[in-house]
Amino acid sequence: MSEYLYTTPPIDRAVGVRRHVMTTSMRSFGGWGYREIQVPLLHYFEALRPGLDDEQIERSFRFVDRAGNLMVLRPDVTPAIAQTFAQMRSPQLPFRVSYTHKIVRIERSFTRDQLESYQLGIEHIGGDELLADVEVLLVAFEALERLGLTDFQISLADHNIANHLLKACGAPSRIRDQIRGALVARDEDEARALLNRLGARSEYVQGILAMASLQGGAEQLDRIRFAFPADRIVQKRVDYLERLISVLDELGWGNRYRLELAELTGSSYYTGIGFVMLSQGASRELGRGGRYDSLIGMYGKNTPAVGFSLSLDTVVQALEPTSNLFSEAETAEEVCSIDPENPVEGFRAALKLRETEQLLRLVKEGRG
Amino acid sequence: MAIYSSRLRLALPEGRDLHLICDHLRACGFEIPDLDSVGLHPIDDPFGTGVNFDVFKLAQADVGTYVEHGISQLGIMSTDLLAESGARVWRPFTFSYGTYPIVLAAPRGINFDSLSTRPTIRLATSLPNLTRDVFAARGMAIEVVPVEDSTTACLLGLADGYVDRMVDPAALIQEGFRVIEVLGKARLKLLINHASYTARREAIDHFIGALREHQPPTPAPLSIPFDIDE
Repeated sequence: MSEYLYTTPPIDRAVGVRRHVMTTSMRSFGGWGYREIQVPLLHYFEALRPGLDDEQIERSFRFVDRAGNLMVLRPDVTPAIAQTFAQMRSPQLPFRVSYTHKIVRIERSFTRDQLESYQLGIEHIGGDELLADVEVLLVAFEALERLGLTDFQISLADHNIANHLLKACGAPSRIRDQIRGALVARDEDEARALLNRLGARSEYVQGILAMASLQGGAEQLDRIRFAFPADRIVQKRVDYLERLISVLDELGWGNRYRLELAELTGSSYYTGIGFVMLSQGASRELGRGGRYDSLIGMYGKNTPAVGFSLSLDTVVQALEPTSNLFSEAETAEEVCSIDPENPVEGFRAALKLRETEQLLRLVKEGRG
Repeated sequence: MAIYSSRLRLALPEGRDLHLICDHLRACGFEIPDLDSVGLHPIDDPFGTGVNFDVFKLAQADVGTYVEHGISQLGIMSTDLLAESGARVWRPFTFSYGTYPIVLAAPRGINFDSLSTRPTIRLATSLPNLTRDVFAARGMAIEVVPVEDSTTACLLGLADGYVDRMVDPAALIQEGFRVIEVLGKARLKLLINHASYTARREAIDHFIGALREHQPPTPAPLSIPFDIDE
């Protein structure tokens, strides 16, 4: 018997990292009282449709079943959970659930359009806004930290302020989308050109451009507050965000998030805070989340909620180059030779090694 | 796939504007070497702040992909090609040069009305997605012929007209084309990878500040050769 270093191809290594990510994340979620939920992969399209925006529908996979029903493969987990929750009778609030689920949608990927991917995340339904928002962010901080993502950062925005200002400036829906696109890309020049072409009032130009600026942080809130002193919605949201970030700062997480009011990526169902999780080791977002107070109401009784999801593929990509899950000490395996003429002795040796959890590989005697 | 590096990579687009970009970077303190050789060209501490760069040249249309996936933290690219690639990147700085009209052009004598009477309008373009979007927003059905060289496609009868960035009005006139309509403007932008900015904020802010400080004057806009001019 000789000792071998782990020589499994990279695909198996990635599978190991994926399992680690799922186990570690779900343990974190469970530790905060989020019970695992399973929702169907296949839905009646018309039933799920109210919570899907045009882009999600465009990227989804739909087909007609044998009975003539239009079906959709779950393109996003949150609407599916919202629909499930809306059908429950008197669930205890706040309702905390976690999941690790496959989604099916056309997604830009490094080499080609990807169809299937995994999301893992949590949903916190029906709690007090501040307590729930802070709790969900704390769960995200813990999960990312326990996964070993040492350089992660969360960019925090508020969809409510952005939606309100974009509507109030008088932009029609198509132009609103273009301005929102310019904000997300931090393209101040394009946002300014669109607003000027629209003839927007100067305070809206200044306020919206304050969001587009690369200079995030609490100063952004000051600029927004100053630009709209009489706008009660803006003032109320700024007060709320200041409260939220002061709680996070007092809890010692000030270095792990940054206020970036243009961080408006994600589904159109977000109505309050929105956030994106980033790591320099990952080329794109590790995950995203936010508050969606109107989504459940599209399927039943209106109930506020907040949650986030991690993209398993991106987290694995961020972890893999530095992952020590398969260090040499852990992965050294023994090779047991089995003689086909007399296999019992070889198998007995293998069983003995397995009693001590020793990694092993069986080979036919005479082969390497 | 993203690169962990203490250096910042800057992808430069090949083509017409490269010398203007190099001049701009030189004004910012970069000692730009001969970019004809393949690979990364190290530029150590151009601002005296301890931040080192690697610059390299890429096909114009590829810059967004490199930045989106974090292979290069920074890049410079025209907005028409960026829209075409669909790369999700930040673009916080607009260069004063490298602005070109995106035009719908056709052989002299053809105008919008005569095009509209055809059963199908066939347009050659190296910007198929942008072309489809522009005409779909107007509710017009067109047939897009995706080609790299749209003028040749028109000259040889593959298409009725073309949509492309107009960089040289004289060449357009010489080939017998006239502009029917200006559909938009392509602008040269600095691209940033989102995650890289989060980790390297100070260095990237400094770079943008230098670009802004040494921004050359905006050149005069190109004159548009409409048919009506003659």
